[in-house]
Amino acid sequence: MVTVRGVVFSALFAALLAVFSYTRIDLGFTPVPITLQTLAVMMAGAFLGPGYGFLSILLVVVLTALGLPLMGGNGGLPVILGATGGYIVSWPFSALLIGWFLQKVRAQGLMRYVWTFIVVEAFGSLFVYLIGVPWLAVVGKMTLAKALVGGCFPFLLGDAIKAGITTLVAVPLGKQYPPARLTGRGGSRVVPLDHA
Amino acid sequence: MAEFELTRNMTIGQYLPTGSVVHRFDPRLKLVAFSALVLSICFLGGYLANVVALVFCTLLFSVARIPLRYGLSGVKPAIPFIILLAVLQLLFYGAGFGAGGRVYLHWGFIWVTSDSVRLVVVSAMRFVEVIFLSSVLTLSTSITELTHGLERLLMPLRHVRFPVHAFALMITIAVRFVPTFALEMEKMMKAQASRGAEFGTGQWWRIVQRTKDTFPIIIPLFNIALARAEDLVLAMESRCYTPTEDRTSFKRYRAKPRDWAMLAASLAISALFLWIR
Repeated sequence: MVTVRGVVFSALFAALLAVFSYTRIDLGFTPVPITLQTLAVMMAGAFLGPGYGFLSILLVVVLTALGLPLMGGNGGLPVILGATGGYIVSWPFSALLIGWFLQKVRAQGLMRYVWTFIVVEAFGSLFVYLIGVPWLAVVGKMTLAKALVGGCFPFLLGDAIKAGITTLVAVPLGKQYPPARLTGRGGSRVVPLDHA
Repeated sequence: MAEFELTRNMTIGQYLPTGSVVHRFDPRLKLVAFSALVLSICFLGGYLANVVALVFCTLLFSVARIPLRYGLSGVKPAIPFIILLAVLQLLFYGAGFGAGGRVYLHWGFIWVTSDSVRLVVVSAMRFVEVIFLSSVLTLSTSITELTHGLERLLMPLRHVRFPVHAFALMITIAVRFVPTFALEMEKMMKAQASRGAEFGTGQWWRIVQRTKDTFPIIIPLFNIALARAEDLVLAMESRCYTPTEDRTSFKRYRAKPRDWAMLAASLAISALFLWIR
């Protein structure tokens, strides 16, 4: 079922992705800056769960395809269909998988941090390259090895940092804002609307 | 994150009301025409077809009464991307896919051929054409119109249980949230900088410290965003909004013969592009 709460919080994470796309952190020792876009994708999956997380990132992809400059001032179908489009197309599914697997994490304390980091790193980073690198190889017309060197290895460190940030934010804040609260499920502080 | 002027760079929702006929077309048919033109442009592999398409896009700016520099400003952030892709294709296309055409340069694993040159030029032209089309669409259609058009076009997805109306509402709210959150982020960065925080500076080996430097921005921004969303939920519910019911719309669109003529012309032009190819 669809709730007002789910709609609004999904819009929130979509807006955060757009805002984060304008900020980057230079690491200094590598020419590849960390952008916060995938951080927002990881956050959407962690906080919203699979369904709304997917919709939240999907609408950013749809708006970018229409030409809105949501990717750090870039927009339009070349961003989606171009050589780096595979990364963007995989983001909704990345959020879906993060949300789905985080639901399975039952550990508490330190192990919860460890498992959350593993899930976010696996589906927020490695999964994205699983789709983005072959896409880069095909659309950019380069071999898979060169696509890996150019489109995957330089970003791994930054993505691990972002997964760490997501873990450190999502685990403590997730106690106060569990997916049930953000999406209106579970009846916590929300009247189920389908009974009205 | 050494610069704080987020809102200066943010140009979302750039709508230019010149009152042209392009502005007054039905947004649903605009989206269909846009999709048809973009799809046909993706298949143009020759010089002539791309020149024709580029001229058409330029004429479209005149019809919409939009200054061409707006379209060019849309291309500017994509230039590094175009250049990077061009260099990669120029250097590696020949080696990876066989040296077709006349060989201009061969050194080690690098082959520069007439085919790779054509690929570079055609890719850049295609990129610019699609950005021009996107610029015409977003500059001549407001976000609200785009959302309404998208919602109507996605209606068939209701049969596969896709929440079409909720998705359209998400778009509207997200677009409203973007400048608000950008402003909050800017305030947060300036507030933290005024009490000594450093963003993006410091020695390269202090990677943990530089990661920690992002927390004074991300966590307060998250808290502000979550609180603002809570307020919006309460306000919407207090106005009796229930997403499961069908609602009337303040704005109604009806396609006129002029709109259908525009769609037919767009489809004809798409077919012409594909025929020239």
